[in-house]
Amino acid sequence: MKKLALFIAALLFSTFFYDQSIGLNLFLFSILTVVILFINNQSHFKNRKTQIYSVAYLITGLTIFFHSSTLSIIANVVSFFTLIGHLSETKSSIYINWLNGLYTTIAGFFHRNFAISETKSNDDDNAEKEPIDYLHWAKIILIPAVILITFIGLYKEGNPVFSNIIDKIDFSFVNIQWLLVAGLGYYLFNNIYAPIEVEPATELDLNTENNLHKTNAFSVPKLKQENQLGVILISLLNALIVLYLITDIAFITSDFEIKASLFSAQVHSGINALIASIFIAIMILLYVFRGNLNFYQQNQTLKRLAYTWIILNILLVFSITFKNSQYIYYFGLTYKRIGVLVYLILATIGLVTTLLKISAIKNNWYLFRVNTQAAFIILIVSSTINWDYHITDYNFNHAKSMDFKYVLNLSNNNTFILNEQLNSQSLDQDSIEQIKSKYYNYVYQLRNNNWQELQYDNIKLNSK
Amino acid sequence: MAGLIIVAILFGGGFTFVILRISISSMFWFSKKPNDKQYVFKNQFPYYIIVLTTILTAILISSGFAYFAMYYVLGVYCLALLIWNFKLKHCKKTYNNTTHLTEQHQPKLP
Repeated sequence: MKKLALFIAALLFSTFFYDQSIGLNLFLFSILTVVILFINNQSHFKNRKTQIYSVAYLITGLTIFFHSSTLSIIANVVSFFTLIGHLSETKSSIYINWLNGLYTTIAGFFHRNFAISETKSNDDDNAEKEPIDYLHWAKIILIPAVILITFIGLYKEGNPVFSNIIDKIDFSFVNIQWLLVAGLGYYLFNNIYAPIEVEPATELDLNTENNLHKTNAFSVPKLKQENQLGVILISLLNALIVLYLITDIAFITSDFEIKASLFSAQVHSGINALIASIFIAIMILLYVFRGNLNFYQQNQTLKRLAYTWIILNILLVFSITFKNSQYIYYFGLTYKRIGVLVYLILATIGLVTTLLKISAIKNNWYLFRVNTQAAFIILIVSSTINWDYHITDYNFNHAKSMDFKYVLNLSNNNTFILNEQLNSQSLDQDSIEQIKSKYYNYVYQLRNNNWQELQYDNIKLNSK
Repeated sequence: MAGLIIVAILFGGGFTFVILRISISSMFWFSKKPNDKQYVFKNQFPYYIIVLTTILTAILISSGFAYFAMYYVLGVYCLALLIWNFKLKHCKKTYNNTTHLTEQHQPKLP
């Protein structure tokens, strides 16, 4: 049953992917993978987390059908590794899931094969395994084949009816490349059907807890000095950030005319520095609260100062978000500007989890675990959005100005909305020609899509 | 021309084989327990094969998924697994664990 399922999956794999571009096939492959994994790991699928990862994986597959962007493909691949890695060990962290998922996909079959042969050899040390006689097998296959072909040649000469029958046999339908892709599919499904783990890394992860413990090096005088240093450092940094925020608010609320012209330079030079400052802020807090200072009785002031600094850094994030939003409003939406927003969301999560780490006395592994999980969720959510469509829509209908070439050079996901702008916007002749050219090329491409390459745009095109 | 191609393939294949053989052997040389095959397999093989596949994927992408690159990458991957298989199952060679010298039992003896 298992072998048959893998064999069918391999044939379907080749049908989906041989000589095809990405479209509906990746979604179908996602379904097929979940089915194969379900058949072989039914007990794991009762776990809520496994169900969530499976749904996330299917959603990313579906987003490729709706808009096959690079981001959705990356999200699909990452969620594929996450699901497989999670099945190998349901209690491990997400980054270990990625490692296990990658390892299973690459060498699952080889790993199982070697592990089984090792246990067998341990079980019966003295029982010698009978070696395979390759020469005998070669003789069995090759000698009859050669003799058979020779006789077919001889009989063909002797009987015209037999000769006609032999001539009619046509093996041209056998496509070697297609079979190779099917073989690759079989190997892939054979690797993943029973996920395996990188044992040292998984064991280390399972043995590493999230809580921080008091060590033997606990020394009150030393901690008193460390506490003093921390209080002075974070107090000064608090004062500095308060001053910065006051000047920043003054700048933001100042004359609007100056703002528009300055935003470009401000955003480019300023945001990178502020992003770095938030990162360094988290690093400083992690250093200060790295060990026994968490268990020092008189650390209340230091903790309060740290919380204040984190909250002020979150205010700094809001300030950057406001500036970035203004910049987007004046100069249009681009991937870089969206990237800044995504970074700011991640930075906010990082700051909040740092606050939780300090208050609940957690270690750095806790931070790493929670933040990688957050990054994964953001990746999945952002992959569901058709960014090219939204960038084009915003830049044409809401932004004060925009770079037409940038919008035009985006992927085909914005082609239909660009075409709609022909009627509603006042564009010069050259831009109209460029949009029309992109539209017709895309429509031609859609019309030539096979069923495996189908996209949601095919349905939209047919319904027009 | 065909001869040149054959020579180039043999040279390239031989070079790849030597690189793979040395890199896999080095996994045993630098292991804490080079004679414990199960230990090397559990601790070194996963990382080796992940790094190798990453390099091969990079080659494949940079070549624009050319057919030649696909066959080469597939060949290298299979060859690496065959060499690992040989080292783990059939190779009888033992290693002197000289890289991890332990303290002498009687250090004060002449």
